[in-house]
Amino acid sequence: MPSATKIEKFIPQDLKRRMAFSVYKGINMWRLGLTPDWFREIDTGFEIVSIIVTFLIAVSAYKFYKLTNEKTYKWFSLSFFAMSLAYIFKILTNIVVYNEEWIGKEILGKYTMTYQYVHEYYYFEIFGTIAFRFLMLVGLFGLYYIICKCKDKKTIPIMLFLLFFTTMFSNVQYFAFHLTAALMLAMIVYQYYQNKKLQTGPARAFAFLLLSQIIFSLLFLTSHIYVIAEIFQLFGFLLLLQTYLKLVKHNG
Amino acid sequence: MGKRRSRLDIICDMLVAIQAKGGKIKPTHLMYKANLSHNLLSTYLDELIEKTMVKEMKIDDYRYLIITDKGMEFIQNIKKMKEFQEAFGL
Repeated sequence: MPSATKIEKFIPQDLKRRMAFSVYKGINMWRLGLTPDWFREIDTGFEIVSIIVTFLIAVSAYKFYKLTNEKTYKWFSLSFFAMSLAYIFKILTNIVVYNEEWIGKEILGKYTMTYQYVHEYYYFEIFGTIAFRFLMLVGLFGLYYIICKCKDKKTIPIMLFLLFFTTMFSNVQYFAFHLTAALMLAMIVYQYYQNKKLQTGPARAFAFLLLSQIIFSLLFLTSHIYVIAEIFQLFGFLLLLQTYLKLVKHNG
Repeated sequence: MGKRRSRLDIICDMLVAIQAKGGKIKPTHLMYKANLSHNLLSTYLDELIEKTMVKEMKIDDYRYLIITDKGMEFIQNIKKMKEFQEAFGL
């Protein structure tokens, strides 16, 4: 396999400047997570569960919106759709990232093709990562806004700008994304725990999601942290699924 | 003082009142059961008839309001929605 320096020769200067990181040198802030090899593919399964759960809740809320025209349901549904879409982007990006080595072996001998591949691959990875993070933060912000019954619409554009800024900044310091997500989840959990009726189902689910985001932010310690965080996240979504299934079962 | 009912609450109360009376009710009874003024009853009733959730019928010279299948289905969906609302704290 050619060395990093050899490959770097074929990456145009402008692309290097725009990406502002060193390709194939192991420093890659655009990555979604440092997955241990044995956990690759398994985490994709976890994300599929997340997509299914968020999609089911989004569809239900949308049906209620169509029935009543109440905006709460519209925004609740859109928030879960945003999260669903975010996980689709995460899976697609991970597929590209996980197949990096395989594709590299196929074409690394031919430098012209290698250059083309590296170019497309990185653009896709950057786009996928930004899309995942931004949609996830927007989805969580939507949930926070509805569940915490916020009224001031004037703050929405400012918040969206800040979320976009956080998304971009998290490419330099990845934990900015996880801590922002954790903050919004903490507000949601706090709101739920204030209401005794809600302390069991969704409160626990969001508490697990909150823990997962905190654990994700410790990813710099070891890549195994990623596995623990993914498991917590899976538990969170399974608890949300349980709440959803209880409703479906109860209504026949 | 009780919380002011939303449009949806009023519609639901009207449909449930008709359902509780075996699917048919006289307009005056509905007015009392759903706790509405005459004007409000007329407004909401027009809407329900237009949306084919309720139909009017004359039986023994008396005017009756009858809940349709669509009205019954609406009650079921509202029930599901309220459970969803409670489960997610909306």
